[in-house]
Amino acid sequence: MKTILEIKDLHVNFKTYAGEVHAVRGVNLYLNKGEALAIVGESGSGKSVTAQSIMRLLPSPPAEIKQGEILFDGKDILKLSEKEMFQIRGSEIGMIFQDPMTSLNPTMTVGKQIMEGLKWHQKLSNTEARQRAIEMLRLVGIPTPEKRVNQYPHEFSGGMRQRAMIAIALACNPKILIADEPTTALDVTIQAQILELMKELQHKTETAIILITHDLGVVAEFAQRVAVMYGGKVVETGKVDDIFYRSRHPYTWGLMGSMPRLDLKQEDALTPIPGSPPDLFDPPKGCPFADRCPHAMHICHEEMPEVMNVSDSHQVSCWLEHPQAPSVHEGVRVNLTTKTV
Amino acid sequence: MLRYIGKRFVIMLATLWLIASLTFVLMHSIPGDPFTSEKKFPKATLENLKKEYNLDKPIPVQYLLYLKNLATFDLGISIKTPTRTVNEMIEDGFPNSAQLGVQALAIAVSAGILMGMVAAIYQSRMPDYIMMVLAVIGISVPNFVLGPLFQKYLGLEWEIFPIAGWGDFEQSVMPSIALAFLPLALVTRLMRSSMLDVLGQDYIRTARAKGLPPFRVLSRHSLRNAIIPVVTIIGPLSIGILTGSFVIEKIFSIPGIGKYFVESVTNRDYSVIMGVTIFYAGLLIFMNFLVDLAYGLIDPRIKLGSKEAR
Amino acid sequence: MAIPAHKFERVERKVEQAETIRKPSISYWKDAWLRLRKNWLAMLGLGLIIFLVIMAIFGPVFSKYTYYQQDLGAGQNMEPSSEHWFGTDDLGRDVFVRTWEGARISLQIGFFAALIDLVVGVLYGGFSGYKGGRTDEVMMRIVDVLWGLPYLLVVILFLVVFEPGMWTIIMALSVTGWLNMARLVRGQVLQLKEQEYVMAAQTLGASTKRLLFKHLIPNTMGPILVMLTFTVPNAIFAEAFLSFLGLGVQAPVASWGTMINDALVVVLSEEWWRLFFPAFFLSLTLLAFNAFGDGLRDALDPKMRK
Repeated sequence: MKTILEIKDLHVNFKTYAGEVHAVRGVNLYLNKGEALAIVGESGSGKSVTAQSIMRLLPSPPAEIKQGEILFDGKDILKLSEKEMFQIRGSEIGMIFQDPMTSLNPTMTVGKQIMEGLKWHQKLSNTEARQRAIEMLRLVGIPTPEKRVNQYPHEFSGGMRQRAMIAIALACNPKILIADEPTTALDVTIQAQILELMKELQHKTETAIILITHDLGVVAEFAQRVAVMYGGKVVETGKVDDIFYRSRHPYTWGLMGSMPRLDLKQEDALTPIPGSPPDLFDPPKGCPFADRCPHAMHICHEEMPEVMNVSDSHQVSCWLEHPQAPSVHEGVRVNLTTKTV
Repeated sequence: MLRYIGKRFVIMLATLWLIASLTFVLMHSIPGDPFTSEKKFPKATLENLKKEYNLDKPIPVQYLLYLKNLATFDLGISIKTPTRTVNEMIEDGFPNSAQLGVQALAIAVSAGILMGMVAAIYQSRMPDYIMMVLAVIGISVPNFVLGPLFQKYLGLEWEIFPIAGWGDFEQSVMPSIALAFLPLALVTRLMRSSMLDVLGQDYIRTARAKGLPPFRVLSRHSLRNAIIPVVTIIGPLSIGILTGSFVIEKIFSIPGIGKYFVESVTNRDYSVIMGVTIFYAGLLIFMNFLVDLAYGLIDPRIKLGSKEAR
Repeated sequence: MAIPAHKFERVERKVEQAETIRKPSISYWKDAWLRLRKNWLAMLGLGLIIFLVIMAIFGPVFSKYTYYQQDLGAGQNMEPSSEHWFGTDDLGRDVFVRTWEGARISLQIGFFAALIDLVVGVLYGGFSGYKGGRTDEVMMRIVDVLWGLPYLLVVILFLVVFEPGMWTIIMALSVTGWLNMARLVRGQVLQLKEQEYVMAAQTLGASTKRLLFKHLIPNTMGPILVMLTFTVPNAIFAEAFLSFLGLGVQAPVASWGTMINDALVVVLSEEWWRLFFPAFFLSLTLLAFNAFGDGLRDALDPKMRK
């Protein structure tokens, strides 16, 4: 399989009044052609920042990409000029955002917002672009697209707006689609529809997708590979089965534990991870999860663990993998809570 | 939509009626009549004059006659120079005042939008500070201070523009700029904050994610949305420009309504005061009405009629 | 790569520590003050306001002249000197004393206009918003109608009819001045009325008066305060404007507007001080209040909390 995107040792900082936030601290990721990769993590783990770095959409100041490479088709995106970036954004890589209510321009018809990118990138005429916009609206499952194309976003429901966003992002047939929590702001029933639609479109268009989410349920449904982020780092990455059935990182275990499940008894069904994520103004020098980890050892607080290969497809960075570490029941979901919350 | 226009229209009429009645009541609460101070008239002439101005009739009748005249756009005759009607004065003065006002408004809105936009784009950098200092000066220095300063420096010392007078375009430049200063400052500030607000919106990020170059993002997405609040203050701005024109026309000796009005105030020419007040009030109230409608057209989100929800 | 074995001993989690809130919580007003203090322009405004108030109170005391004392002959149109710090006008009156006399008038007008707007606006808007329903509907229609009145025109009408003077100006400014405040307060009250703590107070049987003064008004203080700081410069500007048109306070009382108007005839000559001092301090006052108001608005805006 061909790798289409590769992120190497990405560091992103935000300058604020209170100091510098180290939001992303050495992320390594890759994305294969046509595959769906999910980046999972809680808010503040750096997943959105990583995604926006790929598009170079982070506002600077305050954001600053400190070091790293993002290779797209072999070229380092971070070294491209802003002008070359225009050719990539929207055309090679499309992006959809969390809140469809605010992500569409309220004073422009939905059709025009789809046509804009087409006219700019593919130099289509007005009529051609319009035709294509209607096609796109039909493709994302919006009924009577000929009529809808002339409407304003406020005339669309939340789910329809997200469909329109997808239409905008896919209008120019990008090679990669980045979806930043595309379903978080939607009703549960609509969420399922949108995911279904994205899956369907992925098969049709063979677009590679990076899905950013904090919802593991979505991941199982959607992705082929998963990267788990915590405290600005990727702590574990692997195929969906690796993560769901053979996960090696205590944080991943915690995530599984805090996911609602029907197959467990009431009292075991939902176990939160105690504590809160690390302060990224002053990130810990060891493993970021050490403070909250039930298996934390002295070394966890002192040094960041190396990335270890569990299998070809499965990597984890945790001291428990070290040959000297005491063995923890592997694959067994450990009850992480010390007290009932 | 129609219901909304209807409602606005009724409020507009009520306001007009109110200002008309208020003017009437105030003018008639002055002890004596407008001719009391004029000692030069013989008694017979005075009686005739009173008749001509309907002052011999009971107050309620006078009031109804007055409203009737207003409805037919008849604003009466000047008391001090009885050969001139107020309508004539307005016909004479209004084109000049209108030119001055429209020029000032055009400067204020266009330059204000531009300056506010630049300030927002360069937030917390040099251009922003320059624009904000200019805006603060515009708000702090009244136009009756600015006018004389312009005359002294731009007119007298550097001889760039004629000091005063009216007729050709050059003479209109200085008064227009002096008049535009305060509204310009207000538009700049409003545009800046509105633009900053828009630039932080998610849909701007969407537009950038489409790969549009900054200029397109600005012209097609940011600008249009940022201008909407500016449209809403055009009504109040016109009021400011109009009252400002009183002093500007006085300072630059421009034969506009403002100058007539100030003169009529100084020599207590009550019928002119009344007439001009009504005329200006009507004009402004009508402008506000138009601005309200325009707002509804620019912003598709506002469904006129459910405006209370805003 | 051997790592000492003790490093792989388990450590207990310090969950309690992890769950404590890192920053101490700061009250709304204290937070606003902290942010206001960091805003140098606003603090400059505040400093200038204090300076102007002090000078308005004590300024004339520093001089041996009075604002009406004329010195015809040699004392006319004198340049600023150690004798007359700001020079003299065409009647030989001391411009320094007259400038601070003008400041007294301006600041008084600003203060009282703001006070009247506050009282009338809060009562009217508060009542309208609190009552709601038809009462609110009717009261707001009245505001809508009054809103359309061009404010300075109405003020001019009043001054033409009534005897000009400081109190007439204050009254005239108040005729339409309270509308803004009434609208603001009503909006705030309507918003707050829906909130839970007010409902809780209501269920506990608090009276209308108590609700209005103990709950609603303290919570609407922020925006009201901001509006007041902008009312002051507007009133000061209006007074200067009216005095400039000859409708303000009457001679020999000094007001910045009348002083500027008087100086206008000589603006093209060399007697710059007669225009400069009243114009400068008028502008400075407007600047001070506007800068302070801006800062206050930003500081009290909950959206700006970081």
